[in-house]
Amino acid sequence: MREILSELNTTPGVKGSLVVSPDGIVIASELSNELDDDTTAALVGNVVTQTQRLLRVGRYSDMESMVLTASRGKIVIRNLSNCHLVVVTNQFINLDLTMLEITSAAGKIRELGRLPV
Amino acid sequence: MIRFLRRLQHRGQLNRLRERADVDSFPRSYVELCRALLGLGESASAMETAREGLERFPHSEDLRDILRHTWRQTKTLRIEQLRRQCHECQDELPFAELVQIYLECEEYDEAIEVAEELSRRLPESLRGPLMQADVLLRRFYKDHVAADARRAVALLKRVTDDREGDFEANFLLARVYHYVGATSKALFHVYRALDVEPDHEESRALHRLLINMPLEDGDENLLFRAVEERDRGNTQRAADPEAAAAEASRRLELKKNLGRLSQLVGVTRAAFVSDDWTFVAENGECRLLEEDATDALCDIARGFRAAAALSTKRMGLGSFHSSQLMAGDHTLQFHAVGRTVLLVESDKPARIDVIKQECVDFVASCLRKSGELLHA
Repeated sequence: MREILSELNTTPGVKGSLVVSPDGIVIASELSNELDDDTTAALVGNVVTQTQRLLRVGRYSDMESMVLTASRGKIVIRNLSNCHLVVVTNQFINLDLTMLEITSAAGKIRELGRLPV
Repeated sequence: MIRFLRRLQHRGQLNRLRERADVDSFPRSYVELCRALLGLGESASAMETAREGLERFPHSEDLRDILRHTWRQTKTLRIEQLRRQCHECQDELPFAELVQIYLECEEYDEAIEVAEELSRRLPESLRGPLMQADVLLRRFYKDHVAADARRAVALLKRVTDDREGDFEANFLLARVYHYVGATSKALFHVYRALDVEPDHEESRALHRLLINMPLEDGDENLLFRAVEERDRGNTQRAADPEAAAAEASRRLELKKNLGRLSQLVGVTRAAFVSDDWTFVAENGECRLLEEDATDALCDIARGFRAAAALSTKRMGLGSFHSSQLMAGDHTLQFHAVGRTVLLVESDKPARIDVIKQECVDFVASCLRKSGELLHA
């Protein structure tokens, strides 16, 4: 799985990627030095759990994907059923192009398998 | 002759666009005017117009993009010259000018990098840490990331340790402590600043404010964190009688525009939540939510903004701007500026990009400068 993440990280603008369980526990991560594994996972886990809770309040289906844009970067989160692929990028990235790489990585991680979380 | 007529036609078009920009409550006319100027190769005028537009619509992403684009076109040469001078000489001036140029376009990372470089090259100079702290604080007032304030305060303390009576360091410390509600510390530094420059107007005004404020409860780190979580400083908004008078018409306008947004093809519902008002719109009908009323869509907007804002700040990604969320048959788009958030729900096959552009314009329009909706 780390190989898939490493390959994804070679995309220009991608700062790092990780796979986390829905409650924010790191399954695999490849992050640049400026991002800490556990902090990133915990913060992303918080957003995911809060989002899922809010979606239930609004009677929506589960989250499939989410793109968060901030002043100094972006976060892409893909729901892979029993885990989430999280990709952190800089603010200048063209996500339309990068989305193909992310979708491909998400597919490979899904194929790897039914993760025992 | 043909060229002359063409120029005349273009001038006429520019005048019409300018007249429209002056009265339009959305930033689109300014954007069109800038693009027309760019089309005529008038980059400097386009940059000035974008700057003028941003004064009225400080949260317009399109105008910010144009400003950045034109700024690069006009300043690249000067930046390169200054970078060379920074490498070649042992002088603070090119560093200071470079920082100033980067600040013109809110390129904070580059400005901080230049100030850091000055500190490395001339470690005995206090200009480096002062500039770095100044840039970090500008970003803190905008993004409310506690780490920026902590770094800035540490740098300023280094300056005052070296030179107790440094006016700029003491004034910057007084201002940031006031902003987070650390009144006693702010008073300590404003007195020091006034010792050096007793007639400094801003320091005197700050002193007048501070002597009427309650003393802080808790240490400064907790206060920085509190501002980060609240996404708001401790300072009161200045009373603006004109803004109060305009409030009713602004509310009506917002209601009408949100109603229109909810009528876009594919949009099913929309919610707008700010400190002042909460609106929900569906099928063109928009209603104002009373203070004690609840609505699921507004709760989602509020809850999501809070979680996303805190996470992006603590991950070092700055302030939360927007999000696109896919859930089953729906797409949810969030657009936030500080504590204000717009949430638009649409059908999955809807034209997301078109809706997104409308949302961006809506937010820029309702947070345009004239008082009552501003948080900065």
